[in-house]
Amino acid sequence: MDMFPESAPQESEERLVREAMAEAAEGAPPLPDLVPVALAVGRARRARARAAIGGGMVGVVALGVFGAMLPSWGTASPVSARPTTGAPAPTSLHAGPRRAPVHIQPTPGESSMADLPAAERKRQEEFQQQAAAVLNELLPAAFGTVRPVDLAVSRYQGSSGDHVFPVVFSVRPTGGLAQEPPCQDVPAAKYQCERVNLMDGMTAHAITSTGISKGGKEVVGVSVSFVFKDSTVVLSADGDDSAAVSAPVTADQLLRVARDERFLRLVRYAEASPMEPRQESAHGG
Amino acid sequence: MTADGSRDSTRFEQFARAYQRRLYRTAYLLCGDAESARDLTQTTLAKLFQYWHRAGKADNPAAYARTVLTRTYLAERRRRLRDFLAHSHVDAPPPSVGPELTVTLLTALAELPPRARAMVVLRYWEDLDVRTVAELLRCSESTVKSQCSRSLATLRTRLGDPCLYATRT
Repeated sequence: MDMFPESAPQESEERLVREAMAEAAEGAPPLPDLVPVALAVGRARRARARAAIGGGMVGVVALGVFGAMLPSWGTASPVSARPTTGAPAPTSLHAGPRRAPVHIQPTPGESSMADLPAAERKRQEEFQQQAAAVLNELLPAAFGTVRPVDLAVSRYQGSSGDHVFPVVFSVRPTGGLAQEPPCQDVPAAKYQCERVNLMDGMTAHAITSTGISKGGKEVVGVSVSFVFKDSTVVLSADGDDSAAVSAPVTADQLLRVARDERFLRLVRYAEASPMEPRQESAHGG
Repeated sequence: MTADGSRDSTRFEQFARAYQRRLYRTAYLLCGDAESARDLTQTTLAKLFQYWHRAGKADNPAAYARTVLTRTYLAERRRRLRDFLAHSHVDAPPPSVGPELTVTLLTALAELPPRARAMVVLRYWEDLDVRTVAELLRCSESTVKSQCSRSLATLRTRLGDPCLYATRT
């Protein structure tokens, strides 16, 4: 049943808002020609994207070494780690079944893993398989099966019943500019940040944020972020917005994931052989 | 630069020059101030050029550009929140000058969450139907309707009696 039909009583309100927006937009200050700068910035973005892909190719070579370092993810425990002598064949990196990636069609302005050169794409897909298996083991069972999302190496998705929980696992180089941002609560935005000890003097931010879904219900998402060498690591789990269900994990549970050696091995590899573009300041909005 | 690259740039320039003002107006309603709107429009055009091989072949490059603009706006708002810059930007700066209705509208829009603000702008400024807005923002049509309904109620409270402005238009 349609709970919010756009009924006649709204018409006058809509008309007022349309007229007010037209008046405001027409009254916007003059705009200089943005095209020359857009061309220059666009060319620079293209060049950076190509450079990132080129850099990633180096990591393909490292994949064999990475594979040798990894335990059998599907059944992994520190005890069950396979011997690390000799580089395994790519197929042997997966102890468990291959997880079919979730396909999301890239939308305007978005690139996808399908845009990558074949070798780099293969490397990132392999990494996603490893990461999905580790996340599947370490996240609470309520996440259901964790699968890679084919839009970006940092995107994953847990699904349990009718609920879908987006997960982000990102290791993003900062070009030596990695800095821990301030950690402050923002009560107005229902945003809580706690600075906690991750391990060995490393600190992390454990963040809980609440959004409003349809029907006015609150949907809670959590994330943990920390600086690892020259990269920023983010592990976040969001709720199912359309079903108004919060992420079935607490910040403490997410921290336990981040402290797990299996997770940290993935972080070390991704830091040493970056797969994401360098973090930069974005303007606009 | 190759001949193809040159044609690519020329086609992009033609499109961008024809459409930048429209994008800027939408950005102005989303951001609430001219400086942020210019930055957002600039970023959108740069992204468009980066992916022009795809955007230029779209059935409707203008719709493509609008989608890039909206998603860039929302991504930037999320990034700001995550970077804890949000506390100084949750309340957008009030417009410094302008007709009363514009000031009131932009102030009221600033009180909406970014996603709800985007829905209202797309629905009532860009005049997109509910389905298109839902697709653009990757949510259900009922979410768009409910958010717009709530936002309209908020805006109506701020804007007051429509009759007060009736003589202006």
